[in-house]
Amino acid sequence: MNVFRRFRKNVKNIKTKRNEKEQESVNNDEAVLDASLSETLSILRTRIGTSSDFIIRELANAESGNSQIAISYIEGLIDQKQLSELMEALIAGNTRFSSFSNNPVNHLKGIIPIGGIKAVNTLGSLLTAILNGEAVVAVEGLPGAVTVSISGGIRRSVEEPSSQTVVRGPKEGFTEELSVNIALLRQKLRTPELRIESRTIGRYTQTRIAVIYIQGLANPEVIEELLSRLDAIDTDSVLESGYIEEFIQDKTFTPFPTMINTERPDAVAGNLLEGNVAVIVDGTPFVLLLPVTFFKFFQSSEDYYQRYDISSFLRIIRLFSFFIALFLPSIYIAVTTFQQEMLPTTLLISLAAQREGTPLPALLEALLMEITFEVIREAGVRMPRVIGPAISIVGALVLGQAAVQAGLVSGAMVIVVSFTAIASFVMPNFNMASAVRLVRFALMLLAGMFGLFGILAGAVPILVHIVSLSSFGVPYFTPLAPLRWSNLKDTLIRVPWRSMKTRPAVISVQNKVRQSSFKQQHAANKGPEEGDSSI
Amino acid sequence: MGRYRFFIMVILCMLLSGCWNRTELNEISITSATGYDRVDGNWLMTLQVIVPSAMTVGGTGGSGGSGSAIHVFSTKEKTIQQALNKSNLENSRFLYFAHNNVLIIGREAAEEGISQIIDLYLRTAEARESVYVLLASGKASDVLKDLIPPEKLPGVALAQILNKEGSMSGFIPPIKMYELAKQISSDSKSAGVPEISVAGDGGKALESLDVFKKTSSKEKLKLSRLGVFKEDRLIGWMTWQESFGVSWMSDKIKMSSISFSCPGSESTRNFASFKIRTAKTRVTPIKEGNDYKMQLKVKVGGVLTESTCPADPADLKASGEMEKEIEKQIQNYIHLGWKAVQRMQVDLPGFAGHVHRKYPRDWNEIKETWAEKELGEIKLDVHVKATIQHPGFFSKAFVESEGKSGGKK
Repeated sequence: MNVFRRFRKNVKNIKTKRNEKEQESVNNDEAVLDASLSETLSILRTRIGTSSDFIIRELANAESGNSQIAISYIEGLIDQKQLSELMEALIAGNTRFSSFSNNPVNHLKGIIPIGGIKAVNTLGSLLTAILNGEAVVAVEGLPGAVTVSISGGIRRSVEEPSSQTVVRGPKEGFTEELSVNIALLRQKLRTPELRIESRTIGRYTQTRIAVIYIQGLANPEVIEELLSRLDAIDTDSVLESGYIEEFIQDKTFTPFPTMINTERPDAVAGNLLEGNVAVIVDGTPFVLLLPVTFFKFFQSSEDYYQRYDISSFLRIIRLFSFFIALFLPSIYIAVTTFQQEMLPTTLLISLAAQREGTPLPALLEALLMEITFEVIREAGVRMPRVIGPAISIVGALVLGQAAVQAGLVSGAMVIVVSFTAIASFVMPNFNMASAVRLVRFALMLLAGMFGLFGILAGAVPILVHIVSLSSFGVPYFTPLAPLRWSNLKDTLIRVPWRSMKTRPAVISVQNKVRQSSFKQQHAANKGPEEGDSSI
Repeated sequence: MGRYRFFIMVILCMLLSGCWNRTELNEISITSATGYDRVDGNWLMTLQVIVPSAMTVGGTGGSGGSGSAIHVFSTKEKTIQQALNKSNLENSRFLYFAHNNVLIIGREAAEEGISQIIDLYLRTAEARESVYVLLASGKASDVLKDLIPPEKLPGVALAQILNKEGSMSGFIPPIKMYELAKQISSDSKSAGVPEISVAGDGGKALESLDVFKKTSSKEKLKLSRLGVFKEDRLIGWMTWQESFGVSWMSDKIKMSSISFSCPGSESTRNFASFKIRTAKTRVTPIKEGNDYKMQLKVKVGGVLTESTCPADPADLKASGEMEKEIEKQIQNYIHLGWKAVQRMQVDLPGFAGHVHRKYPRDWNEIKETWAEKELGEIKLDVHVKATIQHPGFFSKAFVESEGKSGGKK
């Protein structure tokens, strides 16, 4: 334990030292720039260095020959077309600068044909602007500079999400670009109540993070808590929303995810309308949704597009496959090595016939096959696409027929492992599937040691753990524990849209009514119409 | 800090215990039937164990398919447990009894008393009391060696025969171990156990796999009679007709069928069959002086499945007459069974329990002499009410309607 304490102390020391250092450079960045153009440029040069993609373009005055205006930007972050427009405007207006030099900012605003223009006067904000893909226009005699938003560069177009596909529903997915992602949401939620709070996290990456919610639907306490947690993050880099997720989750030591990530704008929009909050991180198409409950992981956005009966059936199928993925191998081990009397005679005999001559005990056999499957799965994700077919052929042969024919593995075990594997991919959310895979191994070991009793001894703590979790103050296992009757209509089953008159009570604290009664409204609309026709 | 230590301790504890009672499926031999015989004052225990590799379909299991699916071996010792223990000298696997289907008791053992077997089954955890009990006409070890085509596992096949026979016809009602123990220790102190015997010329044809290659075999295992136990000893046998009568008395009929001659018909050709769907017998003891009268109210419902009677069963009057015939038939069976019961002085229908429940004070006086004295003096008062719920998809008998179709209507 002493080791831990010492380790913690060291970490603290390092943190404080780092902060002190940081403080100095921040102080430096806060320095207000003076009016000299050459000085501003030289400070910029020393700060950014001689990187070849950092470009300073100086425009000389036609009469004096001295540099009057300088445009600086980073080549890959700006849009070339907008840059040339900016240059054209500046060159055209160059000659007149001397006469209007008493208020150059207004003058620049007058001639630059681009929307986002801002005057800045500290080195820090100047640097941020440049690194965010804006062009900085500095003018002789103007303290500070003007930033022009012409950011562009390479970006992926909006494509169909690759990790969460649907049969029916929008085919567009988020991209890596924050502004595009926000725009995708704006297009779906055309309401002034859609609010966006921005943060920048990561000392080196300066990653922009947007917290999106609908004012009046989202719980203000959740937003406040989320923002305070975000503000507490002090890290050098945020490259994916996974970084943020691990920092802000309620409990770190749990295999179960307490936030959903999704690539689908329609899923985010739907959840925002239920009072959830979304966190979009620049540079990744995976958007975090919070707070979530356990059963949210068994819901797909398609559930709301299909007929309710099919959706309800599919949700039950998903829950069933969750149990299969979690328990099937361990039940197989327990029943074949401890509780043989649980099986019907004929099944026992056919299982026994298959195990005849297999060299390994059932536990080892199951572990071996599960690990083999995990290896093949991981290989399938990592390997170059070209080798794909080769791997799948070898995998199918190794895992399946050949292993059985060689008498190394029993046929029933192959069926159990493959069914488990397929069942674990039924869950719409990959995070939960990963959690299940992890827990499964523990349960298998317990089953191998104690049989069905071992499975119970594993399952009860898992249930207790799940119930103890919370996501931003919302109990993880609602609406089952604590029981909320009104929420059950959209948990294991989905009732028809006409009947979903309220939002989930736990998440959306205020403004619970979603819609008015369709039938009443319809009848009310019909009444006057009939009257009209009679006249 | 304390928490971490606690966790580590729990995990270590788990590892300590290991997998002590783990048995892989290929380390157990599943017994499908067991037999008990008495030979020279010793118990001869016979086990029919399943050979799983012979059960596989297709070629994946290695040497599957052609061999015998069962293996039978016997051990002899003073006690059953000792005999079981001695089997370790010749058997390579752990004996596993949870899937045991039938228990066959040899005739000699049954006549000497079966309390030791019952005690073993009630006492040990592995043996299931839900196993069917059968009597062998000769030695149980011989029955266990016989095959029952087309089933590969005779033990399972026997259990299926018993189960099906009990629910579909009820001629010789099957009995499970716990029921046997319960009935023997009840007020009536008696039980009936079906007998299995080899029909045919008594050869050894059923012991060879060659029987599967033939389309028909003269020899076959079948249920033949009902062995009657008084306390734990076998004292006599009943034919299936007598046993059927007792089944009616003790409300053991679930489904069955009754054949009867057509009402008013002299011809021996004209018969009809009645398939029983629901049957219920209510027994009420009535004390008359010092004697007891047992009132049996039997209610039967079912469908007509076969008829060559001239009468139209759709006609209420005709069907009422048919019902009378059915009632008569059932009464015949009951009286047949009752005669056998009085002959053997064994309270197989379990009337003792009814008397005990209704007249608990009197019971104490008569319980000692019940089977020998009072049982013989009981009068039966049988009321049967049969209902033909459905005449089938055809009204008059085929021959009748053919002949008269032109004339009438």
